[in-house]
Amino acid sequence: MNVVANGALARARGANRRGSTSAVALEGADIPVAILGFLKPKTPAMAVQRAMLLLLVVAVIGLAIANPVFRSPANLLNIIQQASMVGVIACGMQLMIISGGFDLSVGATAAAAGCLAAYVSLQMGVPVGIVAGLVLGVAIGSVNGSIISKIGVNPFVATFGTQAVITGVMFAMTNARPIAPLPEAWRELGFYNIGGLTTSSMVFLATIFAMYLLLRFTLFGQHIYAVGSNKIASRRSGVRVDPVIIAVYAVGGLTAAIAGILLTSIAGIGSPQAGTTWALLSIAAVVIGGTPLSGGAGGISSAVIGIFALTVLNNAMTLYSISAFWQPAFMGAAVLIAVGYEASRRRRKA
Amino acid sequence: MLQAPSHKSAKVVRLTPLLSTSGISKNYDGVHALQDANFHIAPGEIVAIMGDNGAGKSTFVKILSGAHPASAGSVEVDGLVTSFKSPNDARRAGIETVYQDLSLAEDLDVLSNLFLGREEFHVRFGGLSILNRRKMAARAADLLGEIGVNVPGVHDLVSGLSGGQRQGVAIARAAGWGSRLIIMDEPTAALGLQETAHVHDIIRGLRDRGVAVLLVSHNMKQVLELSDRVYVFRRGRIVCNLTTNKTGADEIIGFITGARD
Repeated sequence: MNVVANGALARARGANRRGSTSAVALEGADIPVAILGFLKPKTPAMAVQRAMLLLLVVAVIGLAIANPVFRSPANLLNIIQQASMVGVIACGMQLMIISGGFDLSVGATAAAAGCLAAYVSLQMGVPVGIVAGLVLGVAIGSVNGSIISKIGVNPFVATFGTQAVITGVMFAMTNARPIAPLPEAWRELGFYNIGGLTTSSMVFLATIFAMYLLLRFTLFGQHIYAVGSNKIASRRSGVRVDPVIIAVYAVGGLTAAIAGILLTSIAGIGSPQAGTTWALLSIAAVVIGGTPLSGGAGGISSAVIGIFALTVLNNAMTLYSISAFWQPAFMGAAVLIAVGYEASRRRRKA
Repeated sequence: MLQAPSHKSAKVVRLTPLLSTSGISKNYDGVHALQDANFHIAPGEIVAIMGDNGAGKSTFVKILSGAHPASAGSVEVDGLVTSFKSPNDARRAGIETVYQDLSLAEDLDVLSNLFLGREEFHVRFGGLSILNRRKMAARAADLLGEIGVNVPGVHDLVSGLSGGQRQGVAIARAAGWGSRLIIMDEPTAALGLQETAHVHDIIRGLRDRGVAVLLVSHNMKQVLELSDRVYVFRRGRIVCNLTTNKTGADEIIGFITGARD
């Protein structure tokens, strides 16, 4: 996304230099040039993202005008809170999808990390419990990344397998029962807020910012795009492909663990049943946000747009008392439209 | 299209070749893909490799580019024996390869492709090193201008470029960084007439700057037009080393098919 947006801008400037009549008027004006870039997306995936962003903005403005409850600060903060846990995972998923893969085990990893953090906190306190949960997340992610890069198993099979192993081990060890009661410090963490912005909301916003910096400015971010776009070319150019992939999944596992620990802090229990829908929700968010599953493209904006589109939809359905059973149907339709549009445009181009 | 080889007579071939091989062999599971290959190339020289499919050309090229180790024999760079364990080793010795598939990351822009694996930084800190895109963009524009590659802009995605422009980017990536030998595998196989002519100009430009070019090609017209010398491979052996302006298509084809020995 970052690379692409720059390109669109540069092209708009290029049009300026060539002196086409429509562009001459924009000489030296950065904002109109940016708008020109926005209206002429470079790739079908970018077009999906623009359309979804437009739809989201229109929906939010429309709902804010039509419904006083929706526009109340408490509800807007609530939307961020509701988006936060799957949102953190979607940020990790964004990296994995750019690298050309994805991770079906994030829900199981989140539950396992949340349970381990809860269990360890009983003996050694909450901070040590949190560290243990995070370490577990990174470890599971590294195993996923190693299976995918070193052994060459495709991401679907690899993470489907680890998901089943994690869930099985966790259920066996906990007898599928929640870990409770937990130290009071958990709930203090979960319900801490600054001006209504909860811990998990703040962690979500910080994760978005960190991932933005990572993808936009660092060598690691650059190499995630390169590996996702063309693995062989990256290797030939001296990119250390395997460590990049392992690190991507380690970061993905870390975001899953963060989400699981946040859930433990809010629920006040360590639940082995948690997060069963999170993998598919977070993949859906990234795809709806306009990132192709083929890899090499997209930005953190995809995860953010996608997760807020899903959450606002949910919120609106609650406000208008529409059955929550419709939600998966809307989500599925949005995924199909996003992927279908991108695929059809790509085929027409080829 | 054929141009007179006026420059060739004036060429000074240095005593020490840039790169030479002696007795290079390669076996794959007991199959002799390449036997006793003796080869040399000097700075500013365009040397072509021709031969039928399976004659050993690509095996030889893979050994020079560091993709595969040789089973026997030695490679000398500047008269010193070296061994390449990886493409990075070959690259450090100044040997770059332009692959037939071009090996470009299509979803990335021109700039990112040119600098892939050799990024410039504001701050160095492993994977968290901060990229210096401004510096890379300026150098990329210079490099493309120097080599004579026309692309709309360094921030354009490679997926939006024409075949000729992509070839240009791939060559520019190989030619930057002070490389001394560029191996090109069928550089114009996918290109139209005009684009081919442009790529030929780029190759001559490299030669004039003292870069050695190893051209793997099936295109007889291209070989006669561009190269100073031609090595013909047949059944895993180098069967001849011809000076281009003292030979012709008939003799070369004779060696390729085995009508001559």
